[in-house]
Amino acid sequence: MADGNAIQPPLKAYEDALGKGEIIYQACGDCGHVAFYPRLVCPECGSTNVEYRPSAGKGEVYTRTVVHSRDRDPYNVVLIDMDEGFRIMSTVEDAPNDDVQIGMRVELKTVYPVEDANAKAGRLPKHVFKPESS
Amino acid sequence: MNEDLRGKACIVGVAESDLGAVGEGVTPLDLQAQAMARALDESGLRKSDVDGLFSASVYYQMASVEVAEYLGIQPRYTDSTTVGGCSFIVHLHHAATALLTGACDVALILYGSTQRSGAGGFTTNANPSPYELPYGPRMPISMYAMSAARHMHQYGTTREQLAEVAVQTRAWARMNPKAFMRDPLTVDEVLGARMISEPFTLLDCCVVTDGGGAVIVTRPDRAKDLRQEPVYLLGAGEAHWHRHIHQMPDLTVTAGMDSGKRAFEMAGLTPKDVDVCQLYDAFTIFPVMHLEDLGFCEKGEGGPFVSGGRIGPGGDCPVNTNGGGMSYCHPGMYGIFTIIEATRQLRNQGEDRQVDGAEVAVVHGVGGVWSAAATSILGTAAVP
Repeated sequence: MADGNAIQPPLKAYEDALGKGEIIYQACGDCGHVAFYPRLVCPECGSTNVEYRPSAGKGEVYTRTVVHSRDRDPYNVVLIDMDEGFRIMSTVEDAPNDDVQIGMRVELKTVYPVEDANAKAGRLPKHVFKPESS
Repeated sequence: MNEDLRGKACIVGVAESDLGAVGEGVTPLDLQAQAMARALDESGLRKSDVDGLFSASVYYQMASVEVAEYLGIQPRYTDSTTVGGCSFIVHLHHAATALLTGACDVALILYGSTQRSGAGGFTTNANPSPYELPYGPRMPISMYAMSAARHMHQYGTTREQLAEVAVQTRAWARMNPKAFMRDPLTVDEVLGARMISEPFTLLDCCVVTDGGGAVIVTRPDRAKDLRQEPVYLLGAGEAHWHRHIHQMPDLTVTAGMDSGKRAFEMAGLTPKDVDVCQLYDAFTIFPVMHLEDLGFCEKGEGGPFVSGGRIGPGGDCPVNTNGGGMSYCHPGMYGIFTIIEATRQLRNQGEDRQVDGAEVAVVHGVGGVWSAAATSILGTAAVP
């Protein structure tokens, strides 16, 4: 390796955090901009002075769809506006698809590891949400 | 803003290749060759006149290089810019800029795809995000479905209004012998079709066809001796805001706001001046949001705006007179066909579907998942 090479891969930081059951996001040390996904620069101001923070795991469904497929039961895909100010794609479990609507409050349920059949994509861990407990 | 570009380039040849299902063994390059030959023939230009080449593809990473070899063209200006289905509208902008500076004298824009007949099935250059892939959205249907769901929630847009888009577009297709789907279609049929990704049924989605196209662009002085009435590029704009849908700030507002504003400003025109619209339509929500973002109606009013036959035959805002991606042809990247149909309308070559007296057309498309947008304003010599 050439001297001075020192990138800590942001995607790996995200996956490592998921492995511990946490979703991380990024905050800029210079302009304060909150971003997801983690990157080496702030997408707002370009600063490299960025830090990763753990999310409390709560948010609100921004939009949703239900995918109807011939080879599995219908499943929902949602975009969630997290309380810290960033947006992620995920799935809401423990509720009928018809109940998973825009504006629904949700919280992180768990993270399926790569080897779990629920992770589906096979090589990436997958977070899933559930309706927020009152 | 490059106001100097207005009116400095014109379209002098357009053609489709064979469309629909072209048969086994035909390649996307074959379709581009056929389209080029037809476009050259109608223009009166020869292949040896072409010195600027533009192409985009999901099959060939070096799109213009690949097709140039097949065609025996050695261009002095080349551009394989690929920003999704609207790439060819971007190419038109870039071609005009290259023509203005003298970087080329005759620009050829090409596209071909065997999405329906080709080996290997559905081909896409989608690069799934690791932050989206695990959740199983159907690419790109689910992304646009989530946009439609948000639009419905935020503005009260209804399923019936979306279905109206498919129905009126089909009415245009019924007047185009080249259209893939020409049977009558009703709102109830759209709503009752098989659900794919809520709120979209199968009939909220475009057709999947083969097809190719060619567009030839040159400077007005060169156009004088050619066979077709030139169609002038009056305004052009492009923009991109994000790549993946979870990065899109507001799923009801697209980069078309920027590309449209840039194009209309260059043209010195407004939507009120437009006689006919060719708006990329991969899903029913597309024309609704395009018309809002381009300024034909207020944000959120696209649903009521497209209702009551306004965008269909006889309506006061004709949209996708060829039958669009919904019913005529959609080989994966539809953008080039918006330019071809707008050109024919402005030449009064629209046959049964001709919009009477059309002098100004808007051509608009997107790429990716509302990621990129490109707009062109085209006009006849009669437009001051």
